[in-house]
Amino acid sequence: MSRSNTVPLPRWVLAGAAAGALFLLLPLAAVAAEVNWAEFIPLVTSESSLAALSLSLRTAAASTLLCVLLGVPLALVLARARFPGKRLVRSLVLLPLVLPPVVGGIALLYTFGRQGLLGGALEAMGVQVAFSTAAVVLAQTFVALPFLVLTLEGALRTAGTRYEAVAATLGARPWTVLRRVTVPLVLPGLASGAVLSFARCLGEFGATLAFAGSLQGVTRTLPLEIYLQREADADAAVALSLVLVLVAVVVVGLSYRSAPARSADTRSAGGRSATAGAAD
Amino acid sequence: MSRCRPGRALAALLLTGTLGLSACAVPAGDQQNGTSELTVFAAASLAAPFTRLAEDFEAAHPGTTVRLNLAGSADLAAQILAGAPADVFASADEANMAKVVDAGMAAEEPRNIATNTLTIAVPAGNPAGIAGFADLAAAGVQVVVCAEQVPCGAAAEKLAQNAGILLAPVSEESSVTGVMGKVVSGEADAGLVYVTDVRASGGKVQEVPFPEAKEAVNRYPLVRLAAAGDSGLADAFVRYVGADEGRRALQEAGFGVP
Amino acid sequence: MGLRIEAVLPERGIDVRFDVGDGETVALLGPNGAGKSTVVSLLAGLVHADDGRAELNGTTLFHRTKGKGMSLPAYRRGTSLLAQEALLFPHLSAEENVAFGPRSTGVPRRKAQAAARRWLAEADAAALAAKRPGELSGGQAQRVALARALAAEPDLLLLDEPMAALDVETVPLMRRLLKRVLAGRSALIVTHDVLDALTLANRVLVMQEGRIVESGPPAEVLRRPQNPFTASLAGLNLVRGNVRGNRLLAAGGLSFAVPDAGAGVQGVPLLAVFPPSAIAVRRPGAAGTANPGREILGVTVTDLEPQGDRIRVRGAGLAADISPAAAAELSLVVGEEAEFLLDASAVTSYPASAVPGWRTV
Repeated sequence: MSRSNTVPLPRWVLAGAAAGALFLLLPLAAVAAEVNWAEFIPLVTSESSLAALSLSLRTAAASTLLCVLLGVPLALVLARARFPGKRLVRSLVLLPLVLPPVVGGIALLYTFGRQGLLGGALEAMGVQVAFSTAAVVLAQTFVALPFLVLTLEGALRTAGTRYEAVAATLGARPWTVLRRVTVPLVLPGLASGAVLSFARCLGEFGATLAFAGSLQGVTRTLPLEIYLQREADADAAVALSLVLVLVAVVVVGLSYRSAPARSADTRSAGGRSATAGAAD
Repeated sequence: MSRCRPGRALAALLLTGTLGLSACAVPAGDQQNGTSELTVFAAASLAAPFTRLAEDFEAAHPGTTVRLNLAGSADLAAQILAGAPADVFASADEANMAKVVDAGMAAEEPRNIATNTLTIAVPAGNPAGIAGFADLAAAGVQVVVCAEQVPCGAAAEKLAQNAGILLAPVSEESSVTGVMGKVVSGEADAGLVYVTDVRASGGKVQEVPFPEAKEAVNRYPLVRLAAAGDSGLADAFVRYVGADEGRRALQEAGFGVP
Repeated sequence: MGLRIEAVLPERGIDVRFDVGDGETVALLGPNGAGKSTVVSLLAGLVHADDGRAELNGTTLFHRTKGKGMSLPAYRRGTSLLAQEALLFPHLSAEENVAFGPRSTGVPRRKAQAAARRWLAEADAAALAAKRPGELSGGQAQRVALARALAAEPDLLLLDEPMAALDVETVPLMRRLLKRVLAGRSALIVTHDVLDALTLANRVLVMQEGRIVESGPPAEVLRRPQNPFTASLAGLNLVRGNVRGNRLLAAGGLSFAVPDAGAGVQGVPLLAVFPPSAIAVRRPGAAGTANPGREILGVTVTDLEPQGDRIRVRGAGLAADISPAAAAELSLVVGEEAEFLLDASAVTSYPASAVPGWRTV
């Protein structure tokens, strides 16, 4: 779908766009400029840095998986089901997007913590969430889940229900429709939702700090390590910041490279829908 | 003389939040309309006494506004080094003050205005039955301390070494408020915090004092900065804090005074 | 056997009852907004009736009263749907698309593949088996979609304007293909093309404002249309009125002699039809009298438009087709008076009737 814009944009839009891009890029450039390059490799390969990076990648991967497991059904229900109070449910699901992460961490603390809502039950089962890597995963999932739900719900709405209806009339049960039609159709949306969630997990700081604590190799993820290093060694903090920026750029770049190609394919498959006359 | 170098200010912005931005926008002392402004950078643990002192100082010096910037000492030192406009700096440790002094940004020799010592904070009811410092090393006790990189963590480490016990904390927080949070919520069985934190918590945690604590004393140095806009006013504030009013406020907050 | 449906859905203004015999292809005609697609959705299980019931080959599809009751889910109805868009699953090849129905009902992979190839061949699409939907033209995609619908071996095939979105050139091919595969198959085809009805259907249902208003063999329905929509499909002028003597009196003061005035039933309106070619046009008060057997109808010209190689003149709700030469000579202008000369021998008349969707029992 190549679309050429015949009407040029007003100049001030371009100026605003340039200012906006600069606003986002300049700080990143400033970080790069501040890096002590002579010490860069030792700084980012120190034991604590590697432990933090490894923990961040592992927890973000686990959280993304959890986001998919919980978010796919949630998005399906929000996009397809009809029930009273759906708008309310949607706004509640999206709440972590606007909530300060620290508040999320505090909320999790009072849910899964030792004195929390489920703390007693968890303790009885021999599960201790507090100060464990599981707590990091919970915190990340809490803040990242809305990204997946929002992206996937949008993809589901765009895909529409017509393919699903056709599949049903061909004899496919709901589970078959979901597995063989709905999910493949929204796979690009699911992928970019998962990537966004992963990126959000990587950057998660406030909820983790409030809920999981900070211990090297267990709960101290890269953002927490940066925050701590800043106290003692600003060079290390800047170097690690750059690492985090690079990881984020790679992740986001990957998602935007893969997403458009597949969705264009999906669009054209509607055949001649755009030109078809209205049915009654 | 420009105190606001864009590159450094940008770095400050990145490192410490938004303060660097306002640093360029608001002049520290604005005497044109007969009012003067004093910007005080103070360690977060000084929040309660300094808020009161600032109000009293304003009352004693009509037309003066004291702007308090309360944050971690390392943050504040980084902001000052990055060119943030501050008149007075009160640090919670000597290391961060040394950064400022070494950079030649202090106008005088810093003076110690307060001391603080560690204590054990436990959740209401003391569920793990902590009775002294040695209990923190007992198996199954969930202890939270500050990370070594921050003053309260360095102090905790020193105490542990002196006592010859090995702490195995479940979390090493980057600030003492992080430790307090874990104790207040009952997540941790005990935490090493400052006496003043327990005092400020208003009974949300219980204190288990231990004699070994006096082996690690944190000193709070205060200094007028070389870049102060109104050095007379800045001096007045420094003296005010060191005088009886200041000592009383600090003592009430739980600080020791020299 | 076959289909029998009665359904009411006030929300969409639907109130229909009709049947489709075993092996019978029924065309559902009607103007836009008549509710044809809703009827298809009701049968496919995509929309639920408030009241009514439907049975297909002895299986109850739904039986509902006041919005409650049973309704078989779409996947258990045996009613495959082919819509105007192919809606091939974009992530599957043509063959996998066709195998989708059999695979969904538990047919093993290899058997489903074999069936898919057989149905693709049936739909003249064997060569497209390995293609992705994105690589197919509209006509090709629709042939694959037809194969996919047939491969599900439905008890009733639902076709909702299957040719409406195709290029003009590909329509005849698709129509021939449909004629072949629909032979002997129970099917309901929604269309507004009269040619589809004539070539594909054993019977025609005309739907208007949510109701079935006409039913019968295509030729008969088109010869004796009961309402303006059907008459326009048949290309006929339709006048509805009451008989006085041997003349038909219609609303608006229109009046002319009808051949079978006596056949009219007392108290029932009479319908008269005649082709636009049965009307000649002249300017009012033109010299000379009309031929005997021609009725003179004074009209105001409401529209002039080209119609093939003729010019269509509209007035008083009637259409007259005249040659371009005659039109040039008359130099008619919309809004002016004219006289329509109706050839009375071309008029057919018959009583109006309320025809339900049921076949004659």
